[in-house]
Order: sequence, then structure tokens, then C-alpha cells
Amino acid sequence: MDNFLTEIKKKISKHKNNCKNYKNFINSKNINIDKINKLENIPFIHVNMFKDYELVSVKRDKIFLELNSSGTSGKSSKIFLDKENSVNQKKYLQKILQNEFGQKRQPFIILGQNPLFLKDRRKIGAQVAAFLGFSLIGKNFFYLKNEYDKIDYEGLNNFLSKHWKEKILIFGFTSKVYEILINQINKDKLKFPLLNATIIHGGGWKKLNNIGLTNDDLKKVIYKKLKIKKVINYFGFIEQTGSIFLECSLGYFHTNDIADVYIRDKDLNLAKKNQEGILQCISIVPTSYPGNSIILEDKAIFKGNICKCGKPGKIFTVTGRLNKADVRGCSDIS
Amino acid sequence: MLGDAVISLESKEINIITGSKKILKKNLVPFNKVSLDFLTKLSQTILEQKKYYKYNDLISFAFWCRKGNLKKKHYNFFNHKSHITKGLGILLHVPPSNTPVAAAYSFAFGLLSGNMNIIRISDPNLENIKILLGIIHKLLKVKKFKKIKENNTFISYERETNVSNNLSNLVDGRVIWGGEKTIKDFKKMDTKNSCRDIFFDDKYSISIIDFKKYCLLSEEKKNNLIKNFYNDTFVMDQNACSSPHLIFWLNKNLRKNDFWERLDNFVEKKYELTKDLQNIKYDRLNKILFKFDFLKESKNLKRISIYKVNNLNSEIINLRGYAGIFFETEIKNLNILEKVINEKFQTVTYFGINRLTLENLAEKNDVTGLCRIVPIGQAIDMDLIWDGKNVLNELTRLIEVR
Repeated sequence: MDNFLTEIKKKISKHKNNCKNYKNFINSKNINIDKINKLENIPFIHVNMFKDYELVSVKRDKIFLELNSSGTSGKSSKIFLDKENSVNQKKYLQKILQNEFGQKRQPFIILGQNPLFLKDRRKIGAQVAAFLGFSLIGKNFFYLKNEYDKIDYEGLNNFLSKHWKEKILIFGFTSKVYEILINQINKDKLKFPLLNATIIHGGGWKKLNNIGLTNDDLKKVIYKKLKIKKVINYFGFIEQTGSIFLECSLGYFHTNDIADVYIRDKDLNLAKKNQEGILQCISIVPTSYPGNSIILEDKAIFKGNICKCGKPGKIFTVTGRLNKADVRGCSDIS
Repeated sequence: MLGDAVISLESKEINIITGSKKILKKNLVPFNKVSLDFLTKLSQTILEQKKYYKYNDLISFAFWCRKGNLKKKHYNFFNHKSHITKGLGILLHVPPSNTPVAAAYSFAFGLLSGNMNIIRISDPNLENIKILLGIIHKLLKVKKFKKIKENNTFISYERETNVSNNLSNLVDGRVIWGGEKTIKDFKKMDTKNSCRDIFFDDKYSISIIDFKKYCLLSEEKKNNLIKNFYNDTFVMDQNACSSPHLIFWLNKNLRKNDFWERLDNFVEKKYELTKDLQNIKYDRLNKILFKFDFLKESKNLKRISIYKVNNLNSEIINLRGYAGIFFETEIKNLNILEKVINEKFQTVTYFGINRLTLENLAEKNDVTGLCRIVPIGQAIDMDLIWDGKNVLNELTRLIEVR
């Protein structure tokens, strides 16, 4: 843990020295990074800063990739990556995933279209970035949707004929899992069972919560329809690509060697166990932008330091988004 | 009939919340009886109900339009007039979003000045707005307010539609509240040559406190000042244009300043901070701190944070707090304010400074802004003189008879 703190301090010091906006923030708050002796005292920045500012802490000409959030509500985040940061993202994500799924690559089904159809590879969206990231533990990739966005049954049966007895990974966004696996796919057209598959999904519950579907519900309907038992939700976001939190068998997200969390109360102090608060995420991955410690607009609950499932890490649940609608004042009309 | 003009609000794009579908133009007399009666009744209805007391802004409005206060305004208005005064005709009001009070005052301004009113409500589902419009809706059904019902209407429509544009073409006056872009958009629209506009644009407000005088106050008076400062700022989460964000300390010496600690205690008891508000608050604070290199945190208390401004410059108008973020600076004398104040400045609230001194400051040639200089505690008291404008004069026309 001490190494983790040292690593974070080293990284944010570098950001402070190289990113003017971040330096303004640290200086205005009189923060002396060297003197921080607890991880919880690491300053956290609001996630919206990546929407309002172009935050870069390496020379601009080193930037070779820009990630953009999907921006469901207004402005989108811009994350600037140099080679080092991009390589680290893959390296760390692979480490987290291998801890869960083992060293051996598994046949991999993606609930979407092939990203190679994309024109501008310099600007890639969150979905594609996630596909590429998770593909590190896969092999024999199969995109379930063809270029006309229809389910490719022929391709799927062909894929399953070779791999149905092996462990298979099915990866997609939470909303796509519901849309494609629950609503669209016709079970009768599958010539092989999906018994050995594990579904990994993430990206937010907004759509499913709108129709009143919880994580438990989703697991149940998937089992009922496709007999898939293992459904793993992950929590991650574009501002800290490379570090994610995986759900355990008891339904809790676990922290890991790459990333930690704190849940903060309405005064931004640490929330008590089982008290709903605001989620702060700390990741050692970012090096080309000051994204190591970020407070999100997500509500979460700290569930303890030890999980009964036996896996290491602090545990927490994510319970929804904060409400931004109620702003009183006379600055503008809408 | 010759010269008659009717504005019809029947359109797919317009949702009529309450009031008339058609408004026939007339020129009414300011402070006409039915308008006074209506506002008085509205005030009574709000104040009668204890359950509305938690809506500070609604209550202030109800107090403002109670009978005695309107009578005084009525008297003052006609006392100085030697002409016949009439309303302009039909007004379009576009109040700012999410603040029910502004819509209420805008409507009252229109009624008192003898006008017919079309008021756009940007979000009819806000709690305060719902209460206000609910009461108005009931009152409009009362027989004696038939005239008010015929002449006024509250509507909502999507901003992207042409409704603002179309109505702007037809009305005799517009009362528009909003930020720079909104005002610019409305200025671009076609209006009648005789159309009169009042634009309440976004402004910046500050506070000046004489620290020596503050230290001399008794406990009770200190706490009273804190309460007043709280009312100026927290009632609308510091979002009102007239809420001070930057506090100028005069005669600040080495003695410890307990003003902020006292405010923090008061805020902790009175102000309901939620996770949702904290999110917006921290976002706002981060935006400011990321941008500027001349700020230093001077206090980080439980509910409020204070940042010291190290050098006064033209960017200070962007230092806008939210839900408990303030900025402060120390000054030796008021002369520096001449350089700081510009046309973006609206209200100065003060404590411990002679009113005459402030009047002298406002009169100086180099002071190009400022609309109000009021004691701490009166920042958001809206009135018929607002934002540097005599609203009744702007919304009426004179008929000279010799």
C-alpha cells in the first residue's frame, strides 16, 4: 500500500510540474504533495475538468491518441495519451483481467461491430477503447453484429462449433447485453449452447435502471434465456482507462493493485461503511494527464475491507448518478 | 375594431399553463384596482400557509407584494407624475430558469405597470414554480379576477422553437432575464419599432466590510450580521446576480477574523447541503481553481471554503461561488474599487462603511458600473428599481396633456 501511495505522489507531482491548470489547482489549495502521508489525503479533482480543460502533462507533440467520452449529457471528456500512457493502460488492464481470468487467452465474442470500420483512429470513443482493452485476454475474436448492425448467426454458429466446449468470454456494454442478448437474439437459431460462457459488461446502468432493471434482474433473465451463469459487471470510466473494478460472485466491486477508491460524504469527508456517498477513484495508470485521483458524479457505498467471497481488496457498490438538475439562480434561461 | 390587436397563443409549440389563450391589447392604468387586488390576494394566499414558509424566496415575494407595501409604491408613483401614465400593452416575459421568484416579480412588475403579460416558464415542474402557479391558477378562477385572467397567461415552450421569435414580433415590450447569449439572441429578434425592452443581464456582486467596525460589534450583532449575509447568499445557493461572491475587507489588521467560522456554524445549522449540491459545488470550485493562478485557500471549513485573491484584476468577475465558496481580499481604502468596478457589477453590500462614502464612490466619473449599494442583508430584495432601471418607467408611456 505504501508503494501505491508513493507511486501516486510521484505521478501527481509530475502532473503538477507539467500541467498548468493542475498546478493552479494544487497551489491554490496550498497542497504540499511531498508531505502527504495517507492515500485518503491525495487531492482529487472533479471529473468534469476533463470536459472543461484540455489537461496534458507531457509535451503536446508526444500526444498520439485522444480518447473521447460518449458524452450522453452535453460536453464530452477529452483524454490525451502519449505512448507510455497508452502502453501502461494495456499492461495494467491485462494484469487486472489475468488475475480474474487467468493467463490463458479465451475465445472472445464482442457484442457489437468490428471497430475496424472506423475512419479516424486518432479519435476513438469509449466503447471502442473498451473493446480494444478487453481484447487483451481474448483470442479468435468474433463480432456478433455484422456491418449492417444485424446479428450474424452464421458467424456465431461457426464460432461456437469450434469453441463451445471451451471457456468463452462475451464482452459488451451493459445496455448492449440487454439489447442484444435479451431482446434481439433468437435462441432457436443457435446450434450450440453458451453454457461455458462468461459475460463481462460495464458502462453504466442508466438505460436499464430507466426500465427498472437491476443487476440481479439482469443476471436472472440472462440465466433464464441463455443458461449463462457467470455474468460479471465491471466499473470503469474513460478518465481512468486501464484500471477497472471487477464484480465478485457476491456482487461487490473489488479494488486491486492498480486502483483504489474512497467513498465521500456530502462534506467530502470519508463516508462510513454502508453510508451512500460520492465515489472517488485513484489509479496509478495515468501519466500523460492528471487523472490519478478523480471524484466522479456517481453515488457509491463502501461495504468493507474484506469480502466473504475470499478475493482481496476493499469492496463497494455503485448505486447511481448524482442529480444535477436542481440549480437555483438567475444566470441563464434554458 | 380599428386599432385592436390580438395575440393568440394557440399553437402546437405552446403549452398554456394558466391564463388566457388570446390576449387583446389594451393600455391599462398602472396600479389599477384589479391588479392591486390580485397581487394582494396572491400575497395573502402564500403567507396564510405555514407549509410554504420553507420557500424563502416565495415568502420574500409574498411580503413584497402585500397590501401596505404596494400602497406605498402606488402613492410614490403618482405623487411625482404630472402626465397621464399608461401601460405599454402586451409584454413578453422571459424570466431566468429555475428561479420562481424572478418569474413572480416579473409578472408583478408587468401587472403594476398596467400591462398585459405573457410569461414564459422554463421549467413548470420545479417545486416553487408549481406552488406559485397553482395559487395563481386558483385565483384566476375567481370572478372578480376575470380581467386578470383575460389579460395574462403563463406558458411554456421549448427554447429551440420559434415561439420567442414570433411573440417578440407582436408584443409592445419585453422583459428578458438571462446570460450574455440569451440577451444577444433576443436582441437579434425582430420587434415592433415601438417595442420597449428591459434586459436583466447576468451581473457580478461584491461585499465590503470594515473589519475594525465588525470587531467592535457585540456577539448578538455579529450573529445578526452573519444571518443577513447568509440570507444574501445561501437562499439561492449563491446563484442570484445580486449575491456577493467577493468580499473586500477594509482595515483588516492582524487580529483574527472569526467572520467565516461564524458563517460556517450558521450554514451548518441552516443550509441543507446534499451530495447533489456538493457535486455542483466542487465542480464549480475546481473549474475556478484550475483556471486562475492568483488564488490561495485561506479557510477550508466544514461547509464553506474561502479563497484569497492575491491580485485584483479584470478576471475577478469570474470568481462565482456556489453553495458555500467565497473569495476575499484586503484593501486599504475604497479607491481601489474605482479601478475594479466595471459595467458587469450590480450590487455592493456593505457593513461598517458610511453610506455617504459609498455614494461618493458611486458618483465618481471613473466608476462605470454598479446598480445598487445596500447594507448586508438586502442583496436579494427585489424592487421596482432593479438592476439600475426604474422598471415602472420602462414599462409605461406618458401622455402629455396641456
